Amino acid sequence: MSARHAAWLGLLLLAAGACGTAAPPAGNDDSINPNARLGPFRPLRKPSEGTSAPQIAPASRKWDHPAALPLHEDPTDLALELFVDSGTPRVITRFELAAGPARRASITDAMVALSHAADPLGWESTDVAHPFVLRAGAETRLYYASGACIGVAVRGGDGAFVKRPEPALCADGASSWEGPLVTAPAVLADGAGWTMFYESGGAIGEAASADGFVFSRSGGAPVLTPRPPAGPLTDGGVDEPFDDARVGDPHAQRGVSSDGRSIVHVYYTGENRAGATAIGLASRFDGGPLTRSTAPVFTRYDARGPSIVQKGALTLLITGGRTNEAQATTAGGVLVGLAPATSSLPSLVAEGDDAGAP
Amino acid sequence: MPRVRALVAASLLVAPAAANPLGTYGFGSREAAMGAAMTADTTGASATFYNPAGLAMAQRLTLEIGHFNVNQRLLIDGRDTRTDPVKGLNGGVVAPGELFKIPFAFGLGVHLPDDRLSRVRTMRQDIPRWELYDNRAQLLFIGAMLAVRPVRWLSLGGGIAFLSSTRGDFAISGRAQLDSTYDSQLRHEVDADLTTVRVPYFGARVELGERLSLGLSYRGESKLDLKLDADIKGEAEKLGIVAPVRYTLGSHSFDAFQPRQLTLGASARPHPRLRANLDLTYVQWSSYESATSRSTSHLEISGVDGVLAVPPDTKPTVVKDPEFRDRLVPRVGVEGWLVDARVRVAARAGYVFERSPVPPQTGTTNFVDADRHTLSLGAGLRVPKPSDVLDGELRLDVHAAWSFLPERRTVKDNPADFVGGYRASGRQTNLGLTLGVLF
Repeated sequence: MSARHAAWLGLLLLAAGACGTAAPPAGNDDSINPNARLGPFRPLRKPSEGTSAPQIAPASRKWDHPAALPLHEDPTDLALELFVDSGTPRVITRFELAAGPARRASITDAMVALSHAADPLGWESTDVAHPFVLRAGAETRLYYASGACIGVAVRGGDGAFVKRPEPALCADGASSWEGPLVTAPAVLADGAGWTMFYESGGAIGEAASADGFVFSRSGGAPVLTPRPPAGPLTDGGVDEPFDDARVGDPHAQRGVSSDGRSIVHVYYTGENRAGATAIGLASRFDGGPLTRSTAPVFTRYDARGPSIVQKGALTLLITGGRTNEAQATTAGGVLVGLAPATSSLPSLVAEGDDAGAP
Repeated sequence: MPRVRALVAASLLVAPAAANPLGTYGFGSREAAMGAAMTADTTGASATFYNPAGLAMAQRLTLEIGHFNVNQRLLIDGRDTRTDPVKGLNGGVVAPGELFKIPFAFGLGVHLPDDRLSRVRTMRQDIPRWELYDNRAQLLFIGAMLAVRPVRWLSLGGGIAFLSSTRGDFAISGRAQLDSTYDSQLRHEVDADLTTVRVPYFGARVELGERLSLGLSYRGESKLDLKLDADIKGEAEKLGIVAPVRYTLGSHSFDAFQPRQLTLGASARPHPRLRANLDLTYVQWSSYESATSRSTSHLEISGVDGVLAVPPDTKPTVVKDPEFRDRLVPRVGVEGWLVDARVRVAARAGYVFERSPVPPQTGTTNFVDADRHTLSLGAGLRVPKPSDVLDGELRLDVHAAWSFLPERRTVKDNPADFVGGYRASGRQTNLGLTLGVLF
């Protein structure tokens, strides 16, 4: 190459170098997930307790089957009222959960909301359990299980719940798939009427009502049954279905698909043949069958009994479960999961607090 | 344990398809301005990409260098996915000659991303991402081609294109404090290689008189093989209990898939100052193989019963067949010249339509894509004998291209899908210039 060629080559390289730029930070690091609020959920931890579960109820009392209801409509206000069943015989306890000083969640105003002893009904047993709370207009209803039936109580002006004398739904001996009890009610209320999902015989059934007080069964078959076993029971490892022994504890809520179709989402407890539990999700378009999601939404701490609260862009999963994941004997905590799992909840870091517990 | 979980997550990842950026955004400003309909036209360094047979038409030693910058605004549900811009240097050299009185030429074409020589970013296959445009900028391309012109009306060319690939190992050892991860004492070792894959390119060009040229080019299929092996050995401490830990991870995936392509092109010159080009490319996207990582992992930790809940080995990823579809891509370009005694000035325009090869994403995968319309404009300047020391020609070309991806709506079959349905749309702007010197 001659000198003039080298000169022109140098000019070209100089021009090219002027076009070069430094590498920007890598973009597109945030995934976009339109349904991220459905799950999966990540547990909110108690940072000071390491592997202990992120319980918000005291571990010393075995509280179970939590049902949550927002205290305020403000999507930024995460204060909740929680209903759990506990004790022997089982009673339903209500308390409020709010973000307190130093970002600690505080439990206040704990009180027995419903029991058999205080207001016995003939069809009830001594245990009053499996609360589900629903706000419909100005009315707040508390559905519960007792004996072989599901009852309903309505909150009065003084804040106390008053039981309806007649059960909402009772076990039907003629049903081919139900067991001797119906339990774990979850109710949807909208313009089309009232829909109840309930557990019986290790499966989930559906009933409908015009007023939400007395329900009749929808069809003669369960809407969700345990998944067929994948093969011989091994060690309950990752290849085992999480719900091949029982599905129950439904919690239903409505949603809308991207093309505007109405969807019913049913969160549920799945139990496998090894006895481990996790929270699953099955959904349906109006009129269609429930279809499971590809994976459970919460698999930690042997979670069971989901309750869902949507607040703005976040969804809280309130569920029962172990207080220590490594110890199978430590049951009875109330856990909180958060979706989208990549989001944070700075105003409500779950810290256990016995204050105010009865 | 968080580090272990991070590696577990890494084992379930997928790399975007990330095909060759030159095929998407063009090689050279004249080419980009004319919709890259250049199979029967190009003669410079860009012939190493579009049709190596065109090298044999070169009359002088040619040096070219240019730069282009593509900004992308690709949306999902109206939100910008912040897909990386594509920037880089294009250039090359064409050296013509004669061998046994047969004209021949050697060409070397280079695309050098000016951000990074190589980059790999992986995601789970269910996470929505723009499959054809995400992460594809970080690809080094070198094409080395030869062409001959055995008879006046026929040129033949071929060669090898080189693409860069990454593979590596990393190891971590030490003691992890699970109660206070910041107090962990860990040693990291990374061993990565930038290797190459080779892709065959062939082309032919036929001159049918002075006013019509036909071209045929073939580009082979390629993909970059990504392998990652990790070995973590050490101790984990939790609540005063120290336990030996060993975690092994193997991950194998693909990146930068380029489908096999066959292009037939024509270049017509109805008037000495007017040129019209048409290309039709068959792109075999059906052979696209999912880039989802095939991974294995195993965690050994003992003596922690009741203290630590040891997760089971991760479930192998069920890799879905992406079922991409082949497509035909039409490209048109026109060029008009204004001739002056001293300089020549060209105006150019082009259009490309690329139907999306990605089928409706009704299942668990979320390869986001949409049809793509590209309109381009450009100008060129030719200065013969610009100085006493250069008796060839000085060339300057500029281009601007605008791509429009109309909205495509995705609806999921399963209402419990964790991602759900979404709308995808976008636009891209491509600006660049190329400077060339003919000696």
